[in-house]
Amino acid sequence: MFGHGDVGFFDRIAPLYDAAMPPAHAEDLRAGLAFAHRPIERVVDLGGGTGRASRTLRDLGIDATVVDYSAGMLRRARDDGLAAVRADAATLPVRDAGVDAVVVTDALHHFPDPEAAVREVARTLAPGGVLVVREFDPSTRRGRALAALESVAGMDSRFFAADALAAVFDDAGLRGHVVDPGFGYTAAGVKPSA
Amino acid sequence: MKESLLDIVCCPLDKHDLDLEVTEREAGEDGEITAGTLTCTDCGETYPIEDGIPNLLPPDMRE
Repeated sequence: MFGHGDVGFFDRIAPLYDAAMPPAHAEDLRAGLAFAHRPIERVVDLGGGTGRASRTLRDLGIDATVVDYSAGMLRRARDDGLAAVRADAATLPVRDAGVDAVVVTDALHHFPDPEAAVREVARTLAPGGVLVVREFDPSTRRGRALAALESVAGMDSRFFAADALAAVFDDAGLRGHVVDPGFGYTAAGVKPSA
Repeated sequence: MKESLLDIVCCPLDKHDLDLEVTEREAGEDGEITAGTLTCTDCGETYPIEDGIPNLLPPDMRE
């Protein structure tokens, strides 16, 4: 993991270290993407909404495509110059092995069928590609509070504990890793190379 | 949308290639496509491009 020996990969992400970023967010995505065994060029920001994660990725030198169900959110992403596609996460209009990475930032708990979405992502990842998910852990004290709040707000949110999400990745044929545990955690799922 | 998006997108139903038909494009050499249609080369389903955003929801999920 961490792309040992893959000089091309490290050449590519080198500028990230110098980028002046909102630290936590960019660092979380970078740490997840570092699990890839291939250069990161084609990236889907799934459930990307207005393009918050994509703007961070753009600052890291990566042009992501924002994929979301919400037309209103996507219009804002497009107005900001980001590529936008309206789609359903469980029926992804993305080619088999068509992308190097998929990021899902603070969005998976809103997906109606997260397991199906992860299976679809696994299909779209090229060998060595990575799925990076930023989520909230309901087994932590703050996570329980958030889950209760979203439930009271009438959302159908469904939160996975970090280990449970890594298991969902494994079931979909990805190698799951918890990158950074805690209330807000990062999980990575790597598509095995042939 | 840029034409290069076709390198990664496909039909949501059967994952086959999409044919692009452009009806409106921004001015300039690399003007992005603002309106048009994507048609699946296999099942023939058509997907609209509106305000530069392709709507690739399965047809039964469109409003």
